[in-house]
Amino acid sequence: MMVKGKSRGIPSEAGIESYAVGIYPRSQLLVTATRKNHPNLAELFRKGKMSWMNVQRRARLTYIADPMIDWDDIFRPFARVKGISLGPLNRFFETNTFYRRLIVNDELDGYGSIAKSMLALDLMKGDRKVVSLPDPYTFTMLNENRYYRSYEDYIFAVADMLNAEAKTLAREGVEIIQFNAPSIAYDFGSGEGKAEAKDRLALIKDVMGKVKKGVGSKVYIYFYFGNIAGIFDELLDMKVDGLGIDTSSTKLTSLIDYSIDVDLVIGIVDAMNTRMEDAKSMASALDFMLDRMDVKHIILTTSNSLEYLPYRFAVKKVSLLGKITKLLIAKQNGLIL
Amino acid sequence: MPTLFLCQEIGSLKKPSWLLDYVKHDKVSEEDKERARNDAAYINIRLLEDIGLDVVYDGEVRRVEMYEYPIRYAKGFIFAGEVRSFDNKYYKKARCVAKVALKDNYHLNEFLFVKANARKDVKIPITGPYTLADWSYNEFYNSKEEFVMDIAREMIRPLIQDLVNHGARIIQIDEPAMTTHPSEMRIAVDAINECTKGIDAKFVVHICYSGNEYRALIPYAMDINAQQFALEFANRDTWNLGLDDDSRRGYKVLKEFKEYGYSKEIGLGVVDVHVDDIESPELVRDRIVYAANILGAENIYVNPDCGLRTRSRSIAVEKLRVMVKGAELARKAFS
Repeated sequence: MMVKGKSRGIPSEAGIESYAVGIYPRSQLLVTATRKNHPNLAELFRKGKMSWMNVQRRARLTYIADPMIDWDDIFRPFARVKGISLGPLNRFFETNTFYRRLIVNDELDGYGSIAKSMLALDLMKGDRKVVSLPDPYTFTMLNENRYYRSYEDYIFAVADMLNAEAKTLAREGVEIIQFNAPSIAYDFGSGEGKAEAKDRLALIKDVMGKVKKGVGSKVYIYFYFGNIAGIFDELLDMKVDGLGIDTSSTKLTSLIDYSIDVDLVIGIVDAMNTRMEDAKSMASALDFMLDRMDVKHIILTTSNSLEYLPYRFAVKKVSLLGKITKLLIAKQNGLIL
Repeated sequence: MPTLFLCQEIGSLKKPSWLLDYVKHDKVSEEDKERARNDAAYINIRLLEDIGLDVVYDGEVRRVEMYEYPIRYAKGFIFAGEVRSFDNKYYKKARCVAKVALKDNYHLNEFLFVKANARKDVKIPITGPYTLADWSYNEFYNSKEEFVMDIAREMIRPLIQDLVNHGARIIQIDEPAMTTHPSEMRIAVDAINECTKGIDAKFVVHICYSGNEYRALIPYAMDINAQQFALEFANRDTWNLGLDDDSRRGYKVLKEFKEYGYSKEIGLGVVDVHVDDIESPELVRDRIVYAANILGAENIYVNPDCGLRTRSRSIAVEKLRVMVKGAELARKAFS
């Protein structure tokens, strides 16, 4: 897994891609409509989704994501799974955003098309598609089990559910399913708890293997809200097609000694702050790093979902992501210095 | 005035619907709107006093919201838009784009009105520097610490000093974000100390709904220049009567405060502000007695978990009445 001094840099356009997944912010029109419980809310959400997809297309992102503006939080659709009920509000990590904890009261059943039913895949017929879902560890840590006798039983039941959801999405033509794993980064990420994390990470790797099994699209896992540099070597043999880091938590320089055989998703645009990064500087810094890293295929993205920004700033960040990607491709192909 | 288990509110009450309708009206003059706000403030002060609270304010009846209202009166900020807090609830967030400064003492008029009309002790709630920084986007300062400390020095300290100059004696610094980032506790502590140092007043710090049941706060609590921490506990407690640890699991963390040598006052949250069910006076009594057995009865003040603006006015009044009755029962238990 350690550095082997092979050729570095990514000299092909196909090796640098981009997308922005997760829950996007709602436009002012939707803010007002949801406050007043507008009678045509479903139609307004659909128009809002089309508008966000067009923002992504204009930014020339490689993959287009449903902006999930009708998801109350990343877990809420799964309240429809048999065996799950809705619990109290909880803070989502260190943000000022809250989610409703799900309570698992019975054996999970009746899943498989829940995520699909909440995504407007029909609006993305000609697009390459990407979808994000919570990873099983985050799902189990942030929700409550009152049914399964052991943690292992609980997380494998959640893995079965996510596997069924992912298979359905793959059949619908979704090319990449990114499992968001903030709890792994937050709980084990400091590196201080590495010894304790090792056993749990072994379990998580097994679980992710189950999530990926039989899924006909690429499966990525993305770590944010914590620095995973200290456990990155443990993650490299996870049975997934891609690993992702949020560069505001995990510095790209900390990965320089690894030979990364899977795709690397790089959260380069800060989705927690309205300050706009300079596209040229970002592309230059990435170009410099890629020339020193052993990685074949990267996907540029935002540090986390865009929901923590007001609408117009999120639009600018998506556009910025597109610009950085375009500049980086040109640099890596020697078209600009 | 009773000597044990003094009762206080935390801040906000739901605004009366007639006030909301009136102040929205285009044809009503600013003077008339101000008169309406005075009426509402007067009603709230009398209401809280008649219920039997020992320390009162005006239910924050003139304020828009605890973040947006102070930011409107600060230099250096521009509102960026609305962000979702959960479901269909949103709040405005501002960008800090220049050095922060206080434009105007935004609480002075309301404070002078309360002071002139209250018969009980007055406690004025203000939003703290760490929360104002944490809920904003920092585009100007090089670090979060610089940002927080400048708000403390240039905005909140002058505000507090001016309120004290006008007679404020008890100031509650609301810092709901304070324990959100446990690794930044030192910044939050330094900021409160910066804006209160050398000022002759009683300082209460209110924190809620974060920080792993205050475990992030406990190691720092004695370092903070505040005589009291007003905290939420009731929402994590059971509704069973009793003084055992299991029944009082929401308050069990007070033992950890004690182990850390905590010897200040606690403003004990005894009613849950997020449910309409009304606690019984006996339940409130047991929560108070349990806490008093750990920290000493002389250190316990009694309050709701947080501001009651999330509840209807009738529910809020019932919860406050029960709180006062529960405190009376607790006093009997200790007499």
